[in-house]
Amino acid sequence: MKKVFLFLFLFFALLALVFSAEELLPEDPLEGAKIFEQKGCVRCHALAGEGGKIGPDLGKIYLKGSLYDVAGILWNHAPIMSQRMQELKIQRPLFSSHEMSNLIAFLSAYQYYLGHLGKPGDPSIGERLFQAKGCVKCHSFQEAWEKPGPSLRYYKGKYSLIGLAQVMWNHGPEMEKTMSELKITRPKFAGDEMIHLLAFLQAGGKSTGLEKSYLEPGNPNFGKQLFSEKGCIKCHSIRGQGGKIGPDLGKRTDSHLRSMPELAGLLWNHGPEMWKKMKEKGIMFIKFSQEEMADLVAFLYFVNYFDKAGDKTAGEELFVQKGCIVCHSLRGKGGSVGPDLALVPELISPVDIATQMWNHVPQMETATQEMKIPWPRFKTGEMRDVLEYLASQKQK
Amino acid sequence: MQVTRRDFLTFAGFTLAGITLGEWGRSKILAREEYKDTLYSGIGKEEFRLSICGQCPAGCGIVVRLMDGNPKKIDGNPLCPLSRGKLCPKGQNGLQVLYDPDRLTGPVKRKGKRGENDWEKISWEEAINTVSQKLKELKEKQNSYRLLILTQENKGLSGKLWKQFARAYGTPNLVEGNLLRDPGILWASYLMQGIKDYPAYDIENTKYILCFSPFLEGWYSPTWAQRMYGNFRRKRPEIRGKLVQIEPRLSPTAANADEWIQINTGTEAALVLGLAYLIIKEGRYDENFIREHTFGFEDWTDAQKRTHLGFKNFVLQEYDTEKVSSLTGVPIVTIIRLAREFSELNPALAIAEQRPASGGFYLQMAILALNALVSSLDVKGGVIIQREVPFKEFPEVSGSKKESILNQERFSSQEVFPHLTKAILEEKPYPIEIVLIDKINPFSHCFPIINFKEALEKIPFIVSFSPFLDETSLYADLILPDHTFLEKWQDVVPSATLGSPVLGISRPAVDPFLDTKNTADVILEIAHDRDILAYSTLPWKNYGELLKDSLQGIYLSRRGMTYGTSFQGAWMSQMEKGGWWSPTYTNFEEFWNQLLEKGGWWDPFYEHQKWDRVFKTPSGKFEFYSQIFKNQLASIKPSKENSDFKILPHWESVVWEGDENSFPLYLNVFELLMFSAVLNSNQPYLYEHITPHLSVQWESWVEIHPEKAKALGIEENDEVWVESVLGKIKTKAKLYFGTHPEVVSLPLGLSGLSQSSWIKKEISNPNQLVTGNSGNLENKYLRVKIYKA
Repeated sequence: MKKVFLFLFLFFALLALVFSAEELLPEDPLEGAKIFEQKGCVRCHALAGEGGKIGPDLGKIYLKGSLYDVAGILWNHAPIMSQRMQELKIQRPLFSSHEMSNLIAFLSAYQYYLGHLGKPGDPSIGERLFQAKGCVKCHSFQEAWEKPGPSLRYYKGKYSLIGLAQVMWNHGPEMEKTMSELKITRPKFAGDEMIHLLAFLQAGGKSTGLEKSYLEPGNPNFGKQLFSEKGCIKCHSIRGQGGKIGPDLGKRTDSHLRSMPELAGLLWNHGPEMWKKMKEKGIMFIKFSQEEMADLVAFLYFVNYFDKAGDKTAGEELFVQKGCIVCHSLRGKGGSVGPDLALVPELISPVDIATQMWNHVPQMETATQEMKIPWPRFKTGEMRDVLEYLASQKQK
Repeated sequence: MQVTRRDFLTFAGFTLAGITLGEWGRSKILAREEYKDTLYSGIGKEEFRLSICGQCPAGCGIVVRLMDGNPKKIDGNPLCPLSRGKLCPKGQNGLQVLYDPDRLTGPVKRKGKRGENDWEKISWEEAINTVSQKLKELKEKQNSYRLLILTQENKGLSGKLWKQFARAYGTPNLVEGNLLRDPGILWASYLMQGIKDYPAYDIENTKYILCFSPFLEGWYSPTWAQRMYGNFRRKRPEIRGKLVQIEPRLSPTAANADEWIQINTGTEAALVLGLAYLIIKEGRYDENFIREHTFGFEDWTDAQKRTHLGFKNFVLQEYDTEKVSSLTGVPIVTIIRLAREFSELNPALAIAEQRPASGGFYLQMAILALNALVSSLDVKGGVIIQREVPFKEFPEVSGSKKESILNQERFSSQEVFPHLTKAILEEKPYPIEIVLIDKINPFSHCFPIINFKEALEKIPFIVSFSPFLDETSLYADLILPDHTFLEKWQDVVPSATLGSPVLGISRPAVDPFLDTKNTADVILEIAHDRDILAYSTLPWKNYGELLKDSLQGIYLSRRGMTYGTSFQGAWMSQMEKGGWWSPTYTNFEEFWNQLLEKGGWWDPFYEHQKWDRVFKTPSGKFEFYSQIFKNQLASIKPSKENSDFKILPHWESVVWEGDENSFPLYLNVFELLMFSAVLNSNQPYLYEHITPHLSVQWESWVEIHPEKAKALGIEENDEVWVESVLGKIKTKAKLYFGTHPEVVSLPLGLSGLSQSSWIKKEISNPNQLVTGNSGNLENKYLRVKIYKA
């Protein structure tokens, strides 16, 4: 009997892990682009110039933060949006939780897909760095047999930053060996140097005239899988889970917001150190295909997408401070204008709650106006705490 | 008594008892009889099918509304990046092609003499066998190269099919005419950028346009041009683009412009170089661009240590503002202002494509040089070069070793036809024995065309694929009528407009009305005779199969998207900019189905400043001093005669045909939006609203300045003769203050088919001004006189 209980315990524990893993990453941020158009967001908002001019161009605003932070931004602006929609007789779009999750993922990841994150590189500075850092000792843009490295002719202007980062990673140990044999000091790239260098490699090539080669955007869920399969997790942890040799890549910093060239620069600069550690641990050097590199980078980008769990206690305080309790009750305590939020069956996860908040903005707005209550606004992190608190109050 | 439709038609038939026997014979081969009983009844089931407009070669996507399977209305396809749901009046009128009573009902062969219009209906089998037999005989005699194929320039698969057919059969004589663009720009683009293609103009993203041609109604896709013009004006809230129109006549484009500057005819190049003079003199050019990406701006020394004059010093020597003002009639103060505006409002764009009478390639070279001075080449809002559609390559075959009858590479109908006619007439370097004519009617499309009829009479066997008995088909021995565009599979690569590669794809919107065949299918059928071509060179059973196979190339290129909304296009473009590509399909069948559901494929991302792609000159830079031109001239003439002046962009005075005393006025011909590319001249709705600027319907006219008319005793609507040294036409006078006092202007395209059942009225055609003379009008313009009839 004990064995049965033990089995059931393990089974539910595993289920809980799977559930949390599913929640960790957005399903398909690209799906959000379709939702953005289908739900009519594009009628009012442009993305980098294409779309409506009524609201701000979302391609020019960086929606920094996790899903909850972006949900908070949407919430804060809901009355203004609502008013403009009424004036223009635009029907307010409603979302399912799935749609809301992907839409927010798309909006927050928009600049990642465009490779715009961080300031753009200057190819002319990159060209100077190519000389100054000694890359020119090994590589040229012609078929130069005397150079130890391959000609970069076919890379120039053709590959995406992910492709270039992948090539640099995969050939790192070989380059290291050749440089050592030729007594060439390995260059290090500080600040924006890698951004400029890659901008130079990405800029129009003199000799190729080839069409650019594209990659399908990485899927963060595949990247997560690769992170384990390729053994990255042996050295790096994600929020404390995994190896302790390298830094925790899931730590809540802005590291995942680094631009691709910055990430490539980090990989390059820390390469020798990483390879040394891997050798010591008996870990084989791992290579990535371009697609794998894209998935992995997407995973690292979105790793903090759902953010860490909110603070229930802070959420409870905010629920009172922001005046939510005036209209809504929780388990019978509070106002009776809106429903008891613990009893609404659709509110299962914080994403569901955020979605329902958006969908019920008109009713809430009418009620707040009638009761002369100011529209509650949330600062970064506050929405997360409130949603965490609400989710914890669900009737089990 | 109830009168049925049939009764009425019978009655009407009796009232038309005076019909001639000859007319009756002709109508047997034309669709006018076929359409009599086409009234239909049904439950009113409505459906919409996608197609591509065939009213001009622009390639706009369309949606055809059908009621119980009968086409009722045409509108733009909102997913097509060219039309975006809009359509010009010609496109809206597309159904009149389908229902045209003058369509041929099936293949015919000539009975009487050429041009007598006496035909006999034959079967498709006989028609194809006859053509095959003639081609076989020519090949057996090892005279394949004596086949001439005359067609419209087409970058799509039907164009590639002709190319492959010509190569595999063994003739170098495939002549493709472009009906929309000015050949001068093609030459200029080749000489200065090394690109054998027409450039595109990023109108919507530029801030300032200096335009020497009526771009809203003539040489481009009117739908696209007008859409871009709207965006240029209104899409950017903070910027309202400025259009300065410079031309002798107040065209509808000029009337829309912020400013119209009337210039003396034929002096446009002088004004362009006058602007370059000021931009250089005042140091307003982009020094960095000139230094890094151009050649021949400064004086330079060649490998033989000979010093050559550069563009800068040449312009500073030759085009001072006072001289240019006196030549062009444009005030000095205006020239100074234009130069400053053009150099300050970046990006600025100069355009001068002049259809139908090209301003020549020196004007186009000057225009490209002006754009280069302010670095408006391959930038957003500048002159860009269209990328290619990545079709799967056709099987390889070796080309003919024989030289072409045109000797040198020539690009477009206007420039080709004088040379072609001469070569055929003189049989140099050899006679032409068979000509296949597809999608082009030189008598109507090419102005001026001289002696083409005589040239055709020299050719023993002429085959036309026209659906109509047009002016050229009248001289054919055999006509194998093509479907109209709504009845067939189509693939169209639009003329360079967006910079991005675009391919329209459509299946037939309706079943063929008549016993016609898609010309591409006919070519494939002929090609499958092993005595004509090796099967491996064109291994597809029909055009649909060819289409599907060739599109594998696009599928495998892993870029672009099937047609979509403008947001989807912008999103894909931004994705590709970031190095990503996100397809909406997972296999070829899905891709193919989406193509048909949406109407085509395009790759919205255009990467600017890819210098290796847009400058394919010997220097790899934009060449103010064209080394290609220098080498070409050196191969024709001794180098001593080739001064730097000849190679650098310059203004040459126009040679006017006719002496000044007898023919005191200059002739200007212009295209109308309704009949641009001189097409669709048999469509009555288009005659109902010919032009917005004058009150005219169903007739041609000549525009004359009111003061000049008064001096000549001519009043509004007087019948007048317009006479040149080569011919004359009778037409109606319209007093128009928008024409230059020393110029009279005639519209092109208003002529209808010969013996049309719709266009009964005889409408004068400016081509008659040049007929019946053996002169060569290359690079010449006509002087005329005008007097009351």
